[in-house]
Amino acid sequence: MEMTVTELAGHVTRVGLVGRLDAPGAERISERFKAAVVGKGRNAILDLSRVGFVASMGIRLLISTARTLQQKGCLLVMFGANEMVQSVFEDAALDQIIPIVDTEADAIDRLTS
Amino acid sequence: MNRDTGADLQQPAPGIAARLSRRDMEQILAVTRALAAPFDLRTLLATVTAAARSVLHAERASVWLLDAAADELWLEISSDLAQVRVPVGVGLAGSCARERQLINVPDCYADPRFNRDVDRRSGFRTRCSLTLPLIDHQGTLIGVMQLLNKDPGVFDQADEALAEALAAQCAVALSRVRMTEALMAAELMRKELELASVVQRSTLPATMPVVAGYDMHGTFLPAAQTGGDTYDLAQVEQGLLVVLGDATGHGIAPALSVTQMHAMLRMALRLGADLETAFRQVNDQLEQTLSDGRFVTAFIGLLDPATHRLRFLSGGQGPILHFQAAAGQCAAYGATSFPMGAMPLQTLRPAIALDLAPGDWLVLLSDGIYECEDAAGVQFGKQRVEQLVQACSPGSAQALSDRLMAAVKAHAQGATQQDDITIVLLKRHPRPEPV
Repeated sequence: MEMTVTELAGHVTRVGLVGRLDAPGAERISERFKAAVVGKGRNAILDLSRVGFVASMGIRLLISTARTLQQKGCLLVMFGANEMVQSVFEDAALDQIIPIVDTEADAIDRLTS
Repeated sequence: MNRDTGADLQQPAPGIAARLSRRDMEQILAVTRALAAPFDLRTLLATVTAAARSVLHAERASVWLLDAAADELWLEISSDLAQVRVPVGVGLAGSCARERQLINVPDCYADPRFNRDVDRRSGFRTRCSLTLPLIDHQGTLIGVMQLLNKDPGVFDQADEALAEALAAQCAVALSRVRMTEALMAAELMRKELELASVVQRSTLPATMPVVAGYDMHGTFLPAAQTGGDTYDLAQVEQGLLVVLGDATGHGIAPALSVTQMHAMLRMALRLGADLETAFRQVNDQLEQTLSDGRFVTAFIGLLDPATHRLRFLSGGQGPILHFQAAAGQCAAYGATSFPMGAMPLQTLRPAIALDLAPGDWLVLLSDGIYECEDAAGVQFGKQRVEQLVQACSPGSAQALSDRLMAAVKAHAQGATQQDDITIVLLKRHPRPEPV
């Protein structure tokens, strides 16, 4: 599991994940991911287009990170999830906690809407 | 003066015995006897250092223990000092630990390695010292023994050999004490886990409720001694309660989370709450009580056996499979809301109602089944589950459970079970019960 962090205009942090967000993957990036998404107290978007798989430990990481960000008054929006990942999110009703949209532009729009 | 020490530490140098007085010999033998006796660390070190002081005519003797993780030495026992820490490599004790060599210094204040801080803090004036590494039988450094101020004079070669004999005894004893302590801690942990496991299992149904027209089965196979899953099949005032809960991870913390959820739910239902009220109350209580980052996915359903309607709410638990006998296939449902305890419920989506026709099944499985991976990382997945349900639908709930377990085990190809496995099955008999 690899991670890239980019600071976008408008005080938005863009985080991209690559690989499998399963138990080992989630454990590997957990601290860095939380620091990148929550550390600066900004809105964040999460690119999942290169994540092939998400397991329950990955969902736990996403929820706990989104909750912490929400407590700071900021929002996390995910985009680019493939069909299988989307299905896992739907099974867990994750969209009720973290908005899930199709594209990066949609994610930015969601933050500004 | 530095000198290598090695495996021959167990044996004093020739001629030492002749030099020892009867009292010295008795004290060394007392240390030897201590090795075979039950002891705690402090008692042992007090015995060894007292003997070292006496036999080597030192004003002080102390044993520094190695904290390998911190790369520091810390003083376990001394007559008037305690809990002093020095980095490995600093001072005479630290140098001895780094070099794993005996260091005999006749004039400490003339030696640049000498750390004067300890003297400054204690008010003691160190004149000469003899410092030895404590190396156990496996060659692992476990600490340093230090003798200060021989009275009279300075430590000589005969003292070095004698001290090495004592150090060897001390090292062996320390090693054994630490192993004993580790074993005792492990045993205590094992007993506590056993107790936690008993408590958790006591919350699971001891027997399946008897409901006319239905067959049901629940299985729980934790990955660790305590698991993060729970289930329930019980008749309550509101109907047949069907629950599958899964706190992410396994071990004591998730087990506590899921047991807490289960207890809250039972209490809410006992107080007469309907499905929606119970769900909301449990979610909001968990949100307030679970530590940060923890939540529980849970399916909570109530079956009315008279109408065969099952209404459920699911916090993050899915897929939920309804095998429809007439169609010969499964309908899958996702969760109705996010995992329980993740955040307060602002709005509650309506419960989903399933009408169980004759031969229909409700299949609830924890992610330990869906996410079980083979050697190539391929998950067991929903499709395999559905195929098994179809194939086993004419049989009993117990039989389907057994087939699922066997199939998952075969899929794992001998790999260690990574997550808890819980199966909850409810089947409506295909034909009306005979009158």
